[in-house]
Amino acid sequence: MTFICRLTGFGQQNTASNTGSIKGIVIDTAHNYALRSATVTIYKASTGTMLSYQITNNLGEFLFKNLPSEQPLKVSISHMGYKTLNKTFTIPTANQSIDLGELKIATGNIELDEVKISVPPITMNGDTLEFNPAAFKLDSNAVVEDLLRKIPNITVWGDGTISVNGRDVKRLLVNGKEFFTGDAKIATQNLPKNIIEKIQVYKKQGDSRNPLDSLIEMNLKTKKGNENGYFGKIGAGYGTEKHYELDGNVNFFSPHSQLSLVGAKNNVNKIAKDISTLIANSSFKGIGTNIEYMPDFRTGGLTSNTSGGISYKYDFLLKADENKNKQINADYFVQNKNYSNLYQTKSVLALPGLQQISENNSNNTESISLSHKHGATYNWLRRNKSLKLSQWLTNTRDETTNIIERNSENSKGEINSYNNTRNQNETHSNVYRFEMEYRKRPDFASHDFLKEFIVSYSFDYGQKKEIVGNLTTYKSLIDATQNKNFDRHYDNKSNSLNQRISLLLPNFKNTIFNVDRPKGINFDLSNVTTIYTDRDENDVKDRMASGLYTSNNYLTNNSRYTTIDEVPGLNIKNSYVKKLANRFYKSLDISIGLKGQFFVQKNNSLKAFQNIDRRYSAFIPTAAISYNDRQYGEYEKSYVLDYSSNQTIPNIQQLTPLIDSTNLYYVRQGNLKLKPSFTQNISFLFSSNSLETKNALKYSLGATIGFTDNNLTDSIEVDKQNIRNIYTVNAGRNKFMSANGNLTKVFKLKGSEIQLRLYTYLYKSKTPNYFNGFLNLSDYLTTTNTIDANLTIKDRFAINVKSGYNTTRSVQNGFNNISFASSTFANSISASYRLGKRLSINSNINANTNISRGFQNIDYTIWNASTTYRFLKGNNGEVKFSALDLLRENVNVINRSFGNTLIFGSQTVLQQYFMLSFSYYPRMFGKKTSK
Amino acid sequence: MNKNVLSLIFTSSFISLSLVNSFAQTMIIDSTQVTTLRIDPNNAKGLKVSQVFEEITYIPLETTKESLFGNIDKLAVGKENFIIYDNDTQAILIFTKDGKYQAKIAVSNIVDEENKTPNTKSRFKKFDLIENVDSPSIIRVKSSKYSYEYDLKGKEVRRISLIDKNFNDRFELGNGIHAKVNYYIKSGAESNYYELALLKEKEVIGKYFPFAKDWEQDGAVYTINHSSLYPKVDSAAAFFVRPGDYSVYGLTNTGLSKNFKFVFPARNSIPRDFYSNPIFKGKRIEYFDTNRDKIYSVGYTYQVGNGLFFKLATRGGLNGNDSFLYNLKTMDLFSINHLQPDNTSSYLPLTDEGIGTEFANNNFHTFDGKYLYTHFSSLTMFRFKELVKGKKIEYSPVIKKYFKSGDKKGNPVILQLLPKIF
Repeated sequence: MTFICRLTGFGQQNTASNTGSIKGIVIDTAHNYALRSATVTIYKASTGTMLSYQITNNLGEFLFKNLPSEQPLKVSISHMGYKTLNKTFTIPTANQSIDLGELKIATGNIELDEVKISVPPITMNGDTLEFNPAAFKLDSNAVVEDLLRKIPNITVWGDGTISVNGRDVKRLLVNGKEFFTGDAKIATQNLPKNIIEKIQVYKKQGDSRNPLDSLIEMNLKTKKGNENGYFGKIGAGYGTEKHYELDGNVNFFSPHSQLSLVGAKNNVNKIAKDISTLIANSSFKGIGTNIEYMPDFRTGGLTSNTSGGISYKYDFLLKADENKNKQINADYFVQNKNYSNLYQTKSVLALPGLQQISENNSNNTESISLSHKHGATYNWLRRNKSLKLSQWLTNTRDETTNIIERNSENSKGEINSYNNTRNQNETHSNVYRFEMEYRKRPDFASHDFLKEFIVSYSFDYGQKKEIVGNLTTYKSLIDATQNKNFDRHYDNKSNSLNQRISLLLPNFKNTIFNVDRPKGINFDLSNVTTIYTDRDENDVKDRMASGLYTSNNYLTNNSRYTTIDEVPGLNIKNSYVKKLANRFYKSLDISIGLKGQFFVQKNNSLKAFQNIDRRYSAFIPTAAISYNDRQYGEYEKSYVLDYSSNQTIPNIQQLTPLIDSTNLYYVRQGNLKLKPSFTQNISFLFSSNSLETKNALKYSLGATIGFTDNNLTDSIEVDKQNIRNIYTVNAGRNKFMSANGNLTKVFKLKGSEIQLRLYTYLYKSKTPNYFNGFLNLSDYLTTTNTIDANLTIKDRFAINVKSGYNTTRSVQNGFNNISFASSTFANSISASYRLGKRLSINSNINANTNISRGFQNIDYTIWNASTTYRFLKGNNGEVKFSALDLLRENVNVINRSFGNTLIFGSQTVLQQYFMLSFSYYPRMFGKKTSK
Repeated sequence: MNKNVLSLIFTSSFISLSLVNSFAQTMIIDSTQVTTLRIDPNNAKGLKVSQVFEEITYIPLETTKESLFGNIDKLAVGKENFIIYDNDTQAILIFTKDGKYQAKIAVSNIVDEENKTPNTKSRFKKFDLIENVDSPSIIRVKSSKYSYEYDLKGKEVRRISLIDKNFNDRFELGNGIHAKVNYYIKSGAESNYYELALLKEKEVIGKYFPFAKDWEQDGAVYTINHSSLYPKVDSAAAFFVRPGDYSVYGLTNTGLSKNFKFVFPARNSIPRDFYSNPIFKGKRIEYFDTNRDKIYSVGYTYQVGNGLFFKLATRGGLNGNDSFLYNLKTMDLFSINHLQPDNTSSYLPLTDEGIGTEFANNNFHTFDGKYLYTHFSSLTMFRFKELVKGKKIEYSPVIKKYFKSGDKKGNPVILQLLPKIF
């Protein structure tokens, strides 16, 4: 409860030089005691402006500092079940302290007129802290988020996370229920402040086994009659380059149901992957400043997108909680995408003997895809058991045309072969997924044999039909006998079924021996069985010189691929706790997981060489040690050391594929000698959380090292004409390590707030591979470093500064020591400024520099700006003018390296355009339109 | 979340108040002299600390490397000593009455059989302090096999094999008669559990409130996680309280009598047939979880003159107003949680609502016939100090020294309170 108690004594304090202080004690005369947790609010008597507020302490006392002197002030004292007490006073001269003495408050109900005059901004109601929106004077169009920003001790983070006294709010509810997708922003940026009766903040016990694990929840309780309503956005914009944007969504809610209808159409790369993204990106927002969401100019290609959907949620219970819930969700989403991209690159491959081969690649893609997705979930929960049933159905139809023109050149820049392909692909697929999970949690009142278990089953059925037309011309300038032309037609069908059943018996010792939470060793038993079958029917035809298509007897095939994966596990664990009440709580948890994997792989094919029947087994142990140290009122630190292992089993394409030689620059060959690879990871994570409530600091450090033995890697045979035969081989040991650091801190200053986040990441690996029989070890190092700072001043100005420095370095050890190095500086400034109540200006500048050794630096700056004007009484109308990529510098450079290959080039991107858009936000809460 | 609630989790009890169709003959309870108390928690008045207590002594318990412990989970007050059980360090600690550390008994290896039930946390908490006029005091700890006896220096002096499987609270009532709670009787055709039994040596001379051991699914009821027996001024008598029963019984070596019957406002009362009506079957726990102001137990009953101290247990903690003093003569009800600090308490609060959870969890640990005892953690004490900062308070030399040389990580402070006689 202390996190709430610490709220006592804060206030919005004034810091003029002529200030003084007052103190007093609130007495309940009827009961004859000092009243704790009563709300004391100070107003300017002349204007009624709220200056500061507090909650009386354990002794019923209050003390305000820095109140303006020499002017009449009003103190207002209120508490549930009491009549509000008002008293006017003046601090006669500066630096004076006056004692109001005993302030006697009478029991009774608050009169209606009193509510109108002065509502206490904050109230303690048992263990719940309540904020009363009516006490905060804000524009009539303000939304909940604007209000939250006004309350000291509450931080609304750039990503929408809300924290109270440094502790994150884990769930935001509206009238005790999740609001639409559960994304807090949907509630806080849409619901008007005026319909909210109170904002409740309380602690919710998390896992009952961990006494320190409690969550903070926030509930928005609407005023009576506002439990129903709708909100949304309908907008249209048109701009230069024939760019357009249309979007609309309306969301209806009532105590039992929530319904969303969404639709969007644009050709500016705004591709919403689902309904929630569409709703989240079109919230009303209030009067504060928000860094505008801008289109992603770095997305490759141009996409015009049409999508729409409907989502429905029904709560069977009006009051659901962690002991009782019953809910059904269903949604449907349809999306049509037209995509085009011209992707042009040059990739340089270093080979033994100071040779190198470059490949020039021009890939022009046009695709149309249409997908329908349906999902439904049923959730049922009781005190100690829960059931979740879900299903998804996805239907996709995709038509893609790829025109690929490639050639390869030697170190001198002489072209030695061409490989041009036109690929036309039509795919239809249907996927059905069903999932069931039943959980039983231990209950003190249960007598059942199995007190705790989790059983789950999933079923995926996939159907795919693919028709491909491939026209390929390969021309060698060195050896004309290699020249090839293909006109190949594929008609492939596949049906797959994946079934997974898993059973977990946690704390098995308790179940068997009927002991509860005994000290000492305990066990978790688990078993996961996955059965996968895939039936493929491939019909491949080649067009012969005669002009007729003839069946390709090699590639035409029927096959059935089956795998059975069985993973039983026994987890042995022990927990040691050392605690001293009110001093510290330290816990050490150790666990060792003994897991085995038994894998059966079977392929039945018309091609005898593809018929395999293999069995693999491996011991894949895990282990973990975690240590947690919590010092009451000071800090909490945790250390986790984790070991895990897994094996990767070579697939049929790596073992014994049917070799399709249409793509001579990449011919995948089989290798029946492949063994599974075995990976072991050790990771360490340290995190520290300050338990101080003011300007709290959080930071974490993590590192992982890993080894893969029998690493599955490529052995590439390249000839002078760039014909590449690629074999998968087991090659020695692959090593990798990564490290990351993270720091967040918020500074609350008077009227403004700075949120600071630092992030750094490093990844290093040593990967063996073969080129023309030579072993090569690729050393790879990449780092990412980001500083992200947010500053908001009052509710008028917001600025975000982000600075990133990323590096990549790759060195080859083997046949030569070629190295590639590149780095990127990315700096961005986004700012938003509000002029008056309706007009706001947004601007964001993104400056990038790409440095690659041996190449010229690439600099580009993307500058976007927009201005928005809200009109109509409820700010429901919006006109917006956007200017994007003002400097016309977006080039979207491709620049990356892996192994001994360096790739650079460019692709189609969105470029400068201007757009004028109009939006209307339909909104209605309760019976009349909110104003 | 009120920690009070957390502490009042289901206790040792495998108690079921489901009616047992038992042929056992229970003793008749004397109900001829029952005082009915009409208690409305909302109407309890406040008083100054000095109006309730004659004197309050703060006794900081010495903090050394050896004596450092967590919480006072059980406090017994002897003639010369405080005997403390601390669950964090799994030890019984012995301090002198002025807080000086004496000795410690490690009890982590002694299994608390009573609490070793299928569904409750096995937590050792029981020890008996046995003080006789003519022999040295002993601390008795029981396991399933032995009764261990220690002296006040912490030395084991005796170990006796146990045949009796009833390990529960034993309360001496004089004339060689003692009482035990949750007592199992197996003799002849009878095999039953009783909430209370009176014994002379090993012979059962009285048995009350039979209950079924094989509790039904929702048979668990909330009880005050402390005790069913509370000492009276007369050391050979006790108050007996039961979960879900709004009566307080008086227990002497001659039997049980109903002393007080509490009547609460409807908003705080459970239905009369709560434990017998089948419509509540399987829904009792949920009922208390939902109806957080419903009283499930009366406890911490201590009587001094006409003053009756008690606590009402609910899931919601009655907004931090759950501990009372009732004047049996004037029929006035006072709130202990709202006592106004004054000189008697060195202007420090007497309860820690909103600051700590000790009073909510422990109330008054015990009554030694003269004084009531409670405690605060050092964290709470230093928060109190912060609270009264700026006030001119003349602390007693002991507290002055404690605030000067102690810190918030030190051992708890025991409060010895002498109630006024009403």
